[in-house]
Amino acid sequence: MAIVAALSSAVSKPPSEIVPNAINQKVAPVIRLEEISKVYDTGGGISVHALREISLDFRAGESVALMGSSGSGKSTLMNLLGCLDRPSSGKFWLDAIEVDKLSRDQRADLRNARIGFIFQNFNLLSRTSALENVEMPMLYHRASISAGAMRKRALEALDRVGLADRASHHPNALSGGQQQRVAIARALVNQPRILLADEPTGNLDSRTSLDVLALFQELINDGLTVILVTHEPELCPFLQRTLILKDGRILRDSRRDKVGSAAEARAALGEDV
Amino acid sequence: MFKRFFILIIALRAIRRNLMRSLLTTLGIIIGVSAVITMVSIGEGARAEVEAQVSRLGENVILVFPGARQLGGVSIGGGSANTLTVEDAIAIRDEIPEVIAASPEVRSQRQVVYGNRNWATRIYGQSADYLMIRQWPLEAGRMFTEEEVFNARQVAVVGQTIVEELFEGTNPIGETIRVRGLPLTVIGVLDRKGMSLMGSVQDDIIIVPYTTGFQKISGRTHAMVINVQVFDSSAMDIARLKITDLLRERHRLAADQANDFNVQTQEEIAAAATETSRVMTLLLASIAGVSMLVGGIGIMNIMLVSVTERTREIGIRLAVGAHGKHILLQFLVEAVLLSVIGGLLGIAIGAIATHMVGFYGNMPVVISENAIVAAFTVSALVGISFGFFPALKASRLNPIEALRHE
Repeated sequence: MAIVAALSSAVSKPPSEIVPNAINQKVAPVIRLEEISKVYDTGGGISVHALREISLDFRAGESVALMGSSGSGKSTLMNLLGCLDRPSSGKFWLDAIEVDKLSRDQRADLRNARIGFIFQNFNLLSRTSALENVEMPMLYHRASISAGAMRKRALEALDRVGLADRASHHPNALSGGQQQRVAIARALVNQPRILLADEPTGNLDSRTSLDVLALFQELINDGLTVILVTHEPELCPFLQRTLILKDGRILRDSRRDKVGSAAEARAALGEDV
Repeated sequence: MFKRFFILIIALRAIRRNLMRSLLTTLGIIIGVSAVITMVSIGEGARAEVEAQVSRLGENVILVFPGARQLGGVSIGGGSANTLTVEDAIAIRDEIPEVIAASPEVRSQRQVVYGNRNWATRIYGQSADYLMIRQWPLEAGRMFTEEEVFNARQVAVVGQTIVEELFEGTNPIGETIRVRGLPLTVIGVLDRKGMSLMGSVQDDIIIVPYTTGFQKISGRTHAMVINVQVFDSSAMDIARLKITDLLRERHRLAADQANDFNVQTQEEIAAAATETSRVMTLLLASIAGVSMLVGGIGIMNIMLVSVTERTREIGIRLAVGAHGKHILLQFLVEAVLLSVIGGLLGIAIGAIATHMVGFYGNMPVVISENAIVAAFTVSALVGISFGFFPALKASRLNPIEALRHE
């Protein structure tokens, strides 16, 4: 619960403190993209325009489904949002930090402190306990964290995803849904501002998918921004905003007034017999 | 700050995960290090033995060889020249005040018979004070007297090997042995001496009066070497000069003629022997060095495989905020740990091998602390230098591509 409290306090800062040139919105954007383009040079003088002058804002506590066929540029956009890559042109702010000006190591520190990654195949370290998997991002934290504090925080994060009793289990002793929840705990442990999830339910059955979505919705309520890349349109009713990309441009950007509760939908499905 | 302790744990875990592979990888280092330790220990042992012998042989001993002979030089064949006589030896003893004993030496390789047993050994003709010169005590019986030398008596003092081979350990004193039909009465038994500077067994020896040796056994007329003892180490240089002057005069050498003999101290002979063992040690150490190089390449090879295998892990670490240098350090520590573990195992095996050589090979060995420190340092350096390239490769991975790696 300490994480949630810390997150809410970060979010409740005055907007002017988060983004200096705050736009006319109730909540200032956590992420701001201005005319972002990404061009890949494939060699032989042929270049691929993966993203073409995209401008976007993401607010705190927003949940977004990012959709599009393969080659639409959504992976490129995710890599940029995750500070794993740099745009060819355009400006990109994360919490008022101009990411496109940062060095490789500075971006690593930014990822460590403010971004949580969740992958389709979970990407946990095998033969390493759930607890140690969750502790891993803290090893690379700029501030020195004692072993005891790391353990305490990792256990708190595991408790947050309901897996405190599985802390010593190795990933191969956990179900798919449990593995993904360990991955979510790992993403949360450094108290990030954004969760980037790449097909988080792609390897899960519908019940487990709804469990994970319900967990996301709790985090969103606590002020976390969740951006979710998915092929599954049936996830959209549970997210506030849907972005569809095509050929490196935004084809559609729609918001939904009423968001369904994943927890209720999960309850309606009942238990597997 | 990155936690060093965790880097060590991660590296240890990675090594344990592929225990068999890790062991095989470090085999080159293990062999290299154990070879260095064993070789250097044997070399050091030989050197220590040489030093011990120098003092045991008597610090104030001068050897006079016939013909031209140089320390570490080329002309070694001069030792067989017939330029030194028994009279030369007597003159050195009687006319140079610094000299307290001199023994003209004649050696013959002969078959010795006792009862129905026989043994090939070296028979030395020496003077009565030879054992004093060599500081070689008797285990039993007595040395022959000057009177027995003067009368060319058929008496013999025998070494431990002779007691074992001819007499099967029984008391030989008073028994008669035969050399080509010539009967010799055993009057004394020498203490055990062990290996000589040149590696021969010194206990395989029979000492007879030089008169008997010259006239009745070898048939030679000239001394192969004259063993000289000086009363004090401070008089060595002056005694050496006086011996040279005396022999030049006795051999009627003109001023422009070179010496037809060579005067050497025991220290010089020991230095030559030490030099030989040093060159040998160096040679063996360089062979061991090649093994270390091969071991290092083995480690580099397996680290490259490891980096490829763990590309996705590297991707995850980079994604959650690891810097390139964290990844570099992680793989470097793993490589160094591998080679240092190899080094430690090598040191242990080398120490065991050294003890076994010393025990079963009956050779003097001294486990050199310097060699252990050097072996440990070199194996760590091998880990750093051969682990660096794979670690650098890992640290430069693109996180996006690494995460996509299957």
